[in-house]
Amino acid sequence: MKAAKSLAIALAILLLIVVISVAAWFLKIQLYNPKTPLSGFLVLIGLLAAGYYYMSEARAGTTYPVRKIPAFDAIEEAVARSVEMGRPVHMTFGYGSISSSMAPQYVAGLGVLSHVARMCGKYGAKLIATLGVPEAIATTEEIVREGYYSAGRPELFDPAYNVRYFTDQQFAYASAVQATLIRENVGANIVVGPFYAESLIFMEAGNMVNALQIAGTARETQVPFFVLVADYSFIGEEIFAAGALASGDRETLASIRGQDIGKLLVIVLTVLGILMLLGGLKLADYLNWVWKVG
Amino acid sequence: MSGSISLGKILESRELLYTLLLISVILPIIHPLGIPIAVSARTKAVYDYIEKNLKPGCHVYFEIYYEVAARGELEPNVVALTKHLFDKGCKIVYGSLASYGVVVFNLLKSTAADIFQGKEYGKDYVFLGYVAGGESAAASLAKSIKGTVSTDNYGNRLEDLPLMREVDKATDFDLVIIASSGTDTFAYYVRQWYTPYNVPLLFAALSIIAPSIEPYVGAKQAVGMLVGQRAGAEYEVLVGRLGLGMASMDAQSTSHMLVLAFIVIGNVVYWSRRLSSKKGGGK
Amino acid sequence: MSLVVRKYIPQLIVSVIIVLSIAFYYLYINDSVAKGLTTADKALSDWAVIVTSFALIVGGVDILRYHLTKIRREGLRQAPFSAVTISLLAIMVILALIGWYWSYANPKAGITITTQPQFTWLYSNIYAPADSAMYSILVFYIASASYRAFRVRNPPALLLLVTAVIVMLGNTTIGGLIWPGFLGLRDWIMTVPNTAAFRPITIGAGLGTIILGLRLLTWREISWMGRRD
Repeated sequence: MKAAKSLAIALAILLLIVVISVAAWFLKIQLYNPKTPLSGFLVLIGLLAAGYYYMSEARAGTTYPVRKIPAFDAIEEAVARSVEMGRPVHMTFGYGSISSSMAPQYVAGLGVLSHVARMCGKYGAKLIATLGVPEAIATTEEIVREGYYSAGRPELFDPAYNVRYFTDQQFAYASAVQATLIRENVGANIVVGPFYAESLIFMEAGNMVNALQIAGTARETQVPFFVLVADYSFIGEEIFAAGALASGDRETLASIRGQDIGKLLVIVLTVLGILMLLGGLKLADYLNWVWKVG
Repeated sequence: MSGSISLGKILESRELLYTLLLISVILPIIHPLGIPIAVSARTKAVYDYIEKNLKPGCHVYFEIYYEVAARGELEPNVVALTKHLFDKGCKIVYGSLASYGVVVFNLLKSTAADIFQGKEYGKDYVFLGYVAGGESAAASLAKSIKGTVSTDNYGNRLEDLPLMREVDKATDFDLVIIASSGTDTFAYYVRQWYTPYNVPLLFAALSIIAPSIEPYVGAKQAVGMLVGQRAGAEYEVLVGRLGLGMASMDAQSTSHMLVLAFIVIGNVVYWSRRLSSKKGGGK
Repeated sequence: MSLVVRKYIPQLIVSVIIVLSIAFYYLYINDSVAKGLTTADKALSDWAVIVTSFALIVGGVDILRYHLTKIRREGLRQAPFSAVTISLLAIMVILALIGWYWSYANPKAGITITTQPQFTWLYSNIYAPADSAMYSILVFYIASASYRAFRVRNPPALLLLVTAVIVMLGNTTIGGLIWPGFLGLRDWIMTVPNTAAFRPITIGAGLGTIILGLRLLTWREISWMGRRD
């Protein structure tokens, strides 16, 4: 019943957008930016609608299978191994400003941190969460606290040890993290978020202390370093799925199916684009249409 | 076999590799080898574009978006491009969407003082300084520079600078150059300067960043791209002012060759071990 | 009340910002509305810059807390290192404040926070070399990582190695002496196969971001808020 109600609300919003657009078209109102291709807007709305549809289907009881991500499953193993060796677990999710296009990756990193924190609480591991994002200090403390408290081990939570903000300057942060990895002799090094040139510094420092390394980023330039050096890696969009996997919630997981629809669309457009090129036509010319009245 | 294993252990030690690498970087800088450099087609294309399309008195916007750490790779590009533009009689407005842009621009001016000599500030070039706000700031600058910032980096009112009376919005510029150590900056300019206003963009990027912005160049959203230190050295040759880029090329060559040598040795040791353990298993 | 402050208000802010960001990008109506939308968009990002700047103060306090706790726990063993960090932090803040004062007291002198002479000296002579040195460390790490990674364990690894060798030789002047074709081959590898491999990752990340946005919009992504109850 609840599922049907929320689906109805979503449909109503979609219908509203369509009605306003059609009315604007007939009333000759320049509703949308004439410099921004509208095809992108349609794809965005379509993908949001598809994701929402699968979420409400999941709420109604449908279960969608989700492929296993080895890097995600390895987190528990890494934490347990660190406890056996009596070494702490390290996790970091990047540096810089959260108010940029990298924000989604910080959110993904925080999702993984909350899973790591709960695992650390479960196994009684010492967690060191380092960060270079001053805006996220309070959130990080909250997440680590929640991890230990929910596992019934509040005594392990020590903010001055568990959460370490260094600086928002790239290489100062990198050197501080590197020093932490080596001095604290960490048993697991989990690095998920937006990373730049410092990615390899973290991986090599982790390698020096023989830590089990799990790394992931959606920044394509750093993916090769993680894939080559880390024991397990999240490649690209997998970091966004990690948050959903960590929640263990069927409905949240179902949203990933929306991503697959997007991928299918991209594949279709790519193949179509290549076929049209053979005929001397450019697909982009047909997709760049803008809303222009009068 | 134990001999080869102990040799393998020595070769695998980080210390040996790091020491040799340090020597291979420092020595060629002290004693340049002077290996001639060939100019790649990409760099030549950028040079030709500026030669062909920019006329004396034209206007160029130059985004300086890299930190001190990336100077080695990007500054040779920026210096050589600046020289080329000044030689062509262009006027340049520098700006930075990053706070550290101010520091690297000052360093650039001090290391390439000869290029700026004889050029009058305010008439031939202007430095807007740090413009806060990321992509929104880029969009706002494209609409109106004077509407976004009222003074330059040194506190002068923009209305008082002759160059700023000639230019204000994206379409007033004949070329926009983005020298950045990040990936996002290029996307900002493609989305906010190229898409709405169709201004020609030119990229100068770190080698590692280049592949991720390659699609923009492929889609002709940028007229060309200078990739890393090598492109800087090549451009220095083209404009006839050898500097930091060329000086570092020998070091780049020797260090790359050393790494290659180590990769080969690593494989020899790996395979000799693998084969010997197979033989051992057979017994 | 606590639940409202801790959960609903932050989620509502996130949802509103997502909808507004899309509206700012696509809506137009007429010139003056479009101008208003751009101004609002700029204001939103200015707020973010301001919030970030204040967060830096929190960061400074956090660094102090960390080091003071460390000195208390580890005593003299840690004290000299922490003293360096804390005193440099204080010096940079004081010098910047002096620059800030002069920018108002005597604007004609041209001294601002970033052009304050001692601040600039410390930045260019201590911070800049230290920053560059950390970046240079990558040279060593890339060398040791590639030494380990480029082992020919299987046929794909051989392909990886051959590609790496061509690109590395193309990046050097020595490569040109061996065979001039390395340069063109490097450019081809970087622009064609490499870009082809990068694009799907970029597209996938973009799609992932959209769906993450959907989860935030529908209040299903809550891990970023910390406490769940």
